[in-house]
Amino acid sequence: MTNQEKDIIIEVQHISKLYGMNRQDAARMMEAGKDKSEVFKKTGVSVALWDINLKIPRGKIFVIIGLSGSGKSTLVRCFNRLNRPTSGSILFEGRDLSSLSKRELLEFRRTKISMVFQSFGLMSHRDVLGNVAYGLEVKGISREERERKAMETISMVGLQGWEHQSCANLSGGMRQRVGIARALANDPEVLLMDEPFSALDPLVRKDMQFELLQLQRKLGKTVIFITHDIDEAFKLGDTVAIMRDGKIIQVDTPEEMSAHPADDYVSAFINSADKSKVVSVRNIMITPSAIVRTTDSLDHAIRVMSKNALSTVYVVDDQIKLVGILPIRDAIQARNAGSPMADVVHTDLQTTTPDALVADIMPMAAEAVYPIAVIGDDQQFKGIVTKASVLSSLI
Amino acid sequence: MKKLLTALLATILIASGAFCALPVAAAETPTSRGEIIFADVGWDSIKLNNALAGLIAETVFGYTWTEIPGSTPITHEALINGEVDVVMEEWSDNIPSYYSDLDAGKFTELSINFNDNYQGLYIPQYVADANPGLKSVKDLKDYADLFPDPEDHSKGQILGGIPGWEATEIMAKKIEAYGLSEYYNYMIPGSNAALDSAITSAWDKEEPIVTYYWEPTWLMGKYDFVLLEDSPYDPETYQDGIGAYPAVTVTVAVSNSFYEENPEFCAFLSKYHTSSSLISEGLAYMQDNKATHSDAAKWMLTQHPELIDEWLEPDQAALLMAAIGGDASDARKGPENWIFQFPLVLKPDTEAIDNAVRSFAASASPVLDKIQGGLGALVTMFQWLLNHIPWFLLILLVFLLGWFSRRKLSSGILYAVILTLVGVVGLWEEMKITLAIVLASVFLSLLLGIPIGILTSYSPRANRIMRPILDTMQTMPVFVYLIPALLLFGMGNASAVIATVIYAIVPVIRLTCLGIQQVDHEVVEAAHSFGSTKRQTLFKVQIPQALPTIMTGVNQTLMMAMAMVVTCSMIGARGLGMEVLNAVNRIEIGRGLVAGGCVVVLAVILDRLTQGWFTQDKKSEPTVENDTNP
Repeated sequence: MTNQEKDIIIEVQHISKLYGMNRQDAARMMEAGKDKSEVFKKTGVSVALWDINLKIPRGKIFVIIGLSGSGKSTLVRCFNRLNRPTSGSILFEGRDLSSLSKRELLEFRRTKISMVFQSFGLMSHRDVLGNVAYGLEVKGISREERERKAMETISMVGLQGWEHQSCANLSGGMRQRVGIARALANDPEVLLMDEPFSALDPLVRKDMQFELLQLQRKLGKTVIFITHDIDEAFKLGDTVAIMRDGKIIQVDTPEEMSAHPADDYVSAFINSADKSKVVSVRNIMITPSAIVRTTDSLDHAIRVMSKNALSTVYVVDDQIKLVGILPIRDAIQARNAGSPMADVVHTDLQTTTPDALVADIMPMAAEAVYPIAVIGDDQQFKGIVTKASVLSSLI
Repeated sequence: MKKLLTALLATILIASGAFCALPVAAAETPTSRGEIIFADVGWDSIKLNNALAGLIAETVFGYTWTEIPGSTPITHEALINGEVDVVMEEWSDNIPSYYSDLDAGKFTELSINFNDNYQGLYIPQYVADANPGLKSVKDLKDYADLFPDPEDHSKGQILGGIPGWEATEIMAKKIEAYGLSEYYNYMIPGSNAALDSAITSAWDKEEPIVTYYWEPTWLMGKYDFVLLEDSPYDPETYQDGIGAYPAVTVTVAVSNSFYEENPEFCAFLSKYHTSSSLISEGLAYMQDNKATHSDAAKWMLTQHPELIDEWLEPDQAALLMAAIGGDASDARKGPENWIFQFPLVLKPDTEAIDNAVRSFAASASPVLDKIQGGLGALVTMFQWLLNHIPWFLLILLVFLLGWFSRRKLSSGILYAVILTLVGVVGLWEEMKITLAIVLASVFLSLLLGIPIGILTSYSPRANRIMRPILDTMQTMPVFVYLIPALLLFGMGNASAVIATVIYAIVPVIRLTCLGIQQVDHEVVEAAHSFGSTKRQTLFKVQIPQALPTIMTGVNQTLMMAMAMVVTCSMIGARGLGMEVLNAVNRIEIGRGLVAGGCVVVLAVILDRLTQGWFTQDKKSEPTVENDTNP
């Protein structure tokens, strides 16, 4: 802790950002402790940020969390001066950002800091390589050099082989990988991430969070991460700052924050973190890698299992309704004995629905021998939930 | 709010209803004999003749009268159809079908208005004074350097007549027959207004000019021009262009139905006769006193009372004399008229504007001539380029572009076939000339329009200033700036390009601006966040992202430039437009359709090809920018 405080990369001092004509009156009212909405009603000035003070340690993930409208996106744009604060100053390695000349600001953005956007901000007229190399291109680095560097970061985020694809052909998760690769290509000291995973579906989001953690540990970059999801915040953040109505309410490690929330608002926020109460089975179920039909032969079933390295396989009928599960041991015995598949299929399965909450299937999962089958309204087989996926969803 | 509006509307309706009742009842009282429709072919002498006949129709016979404007062939057709009652000046020799229509009894000729007029090649007096050797048409051979063609410095320029007139064709033959084509290009201005402004412009600058013209006209009355001598008129050789023009017989003609129903008035018209000098006198009076045609008509009758005796029976003459002398106040002006007629009229001093433009044209001519030369050279460059592409190569090019841009073999074949048709109907040369003008105009539009569009997208203030200007450019009737353009930049390609650019530049400005404003905000933010300069953001992100929208603008600009083709021919641009104009002026429907069809073919090909690249751009894989920053 003390070591970190010595190595502060960004220090935010009394930052405020007000939009509107009558800013001085509004500032006076805010100083008098008036409410943000009251100030807006009286002066027509909207207070996006008010008296923010932060110390952001080098080489860590610093998460800023808040609901929409709390000012977190405005704040993060102050770090690379896409926004200029109305008052206060931001020191980057001891240097006041507002003192930068135009040229110094360009240099600062080109070398020290880069940004990842919520809806990716990719340039659709360029391919993956062209997007990733953009930051190097505007710096004036030769084509050969920048493409080499861009290829490095592309493979770092696992997109090798996709470099000449148009961004339009990529899935959401892959697009954000491009966004991250583009931000990393400049080798910046600070990575600003403005709700980078909010537009992704939950499973992809989880993968991306994991990969971001790995990347950050490997590269040791300072990451300033914006989110509205407390789970994401706690999972990623070395330090978490909670914002509300343009003000910082509490800055702490996740453990400290859970143990000692500063006020009711923070504790309400933290309580929403118990995932099993909000996450449904749909979000954690996976598709089985193989199924067989009741009409298939036992030989076929055995072949499917051995090909997919499975010890069991799910058996469905023609309408893809679940019949049961077939362990390979029973299948081999039955084949040798010449008995039909129906005799050896286990039909006493644990099942659940896609909309069931993870918390509700927890006891079932603890006891289950096989993965729990997920059955839709029409009795159709939708997928399976393994013990591992139930437990890992709680992280 | 709505209630208030309906109440207001109802009040207005009731009030106007009440007032309407009065004048309707009042108008019934004089013996009304209906309305005579005179043709107004645009020049002043016919308006003066209309005013003379109209004055007599009103005061002696109790008619009302009105004029319908239209070109010579259109009013001639209207006369045959009975939509026009009277044409006071039928220039019989300038209407190809005049005598065949007359023989067929399609209209009734009542009298010869005048037949002592002149037409032929004129030069200004100052040219005649400076070049005493230049007396006749044949002498022109030695003076080609004096009248240089601004678009072809190797030859001189003779300005021709109005497209479609018989005299215009004869002039072309004359130039050939007298061996002048070796030294001169024959330039046919697209319209009477274009020819007049070319002459006026030359007169203001005291520049040499040699042009076909005719009398009686205000222009010849006002400016001192000299008719070049020619060998005497010979009906044998006239059609080959040898010998002077005969005086055109200008007749008074009425429609057959009018003739049957109005015998008294037609009796007067059959005695109607003026002369070239008489009309010129009246026109000069108008010009000198800023008088209206009606004023001039009254003045002429008071100056020449013998006309009245010649034209009218004694009792009728007395009626007319009383009307002129008494100067009866206009019965139409009732006390309640201020409600329906706008009471306060302050006429803007339009003459001051005329004079300002004309003196500017004269004083700034060194600069304007440079611009004219530059624009002309631009068109010439495109023309040169097109002339060096063999026809089969151009068709092949269209085929390949069509194939690749639309991704369909059949499209390529279709475009190649319809382009071939243009050649087959014999309009290949005209098509190339038109294409050169359109390409030059579009090139200039893009050169100016895209930067202006970018500027307006950046600055809300520039946007606010540009919007009304663009609206004006789009809605201002083209002819309003066509004639000043002619005064400033001369006749032909330069003015055509300027007029086209003014009209066609608007969509590319608007859509460039829109395209850049619509680029995803986050993408622009991303560009900034990586330390792009403004220029890098513009060229590497905003323009490429806005390209589909900008290309739509380019396409629309191209289409609007095509729409100007015929209009531009009215100020002397050659090509398909001139062909259309010629056909229309001679009521040659088939020829018009063929030439018009070629315009459509050209437009369709240009449209599909430019659209094709744009849709392809969207689908294909984008390429990486390979330039480094400056």
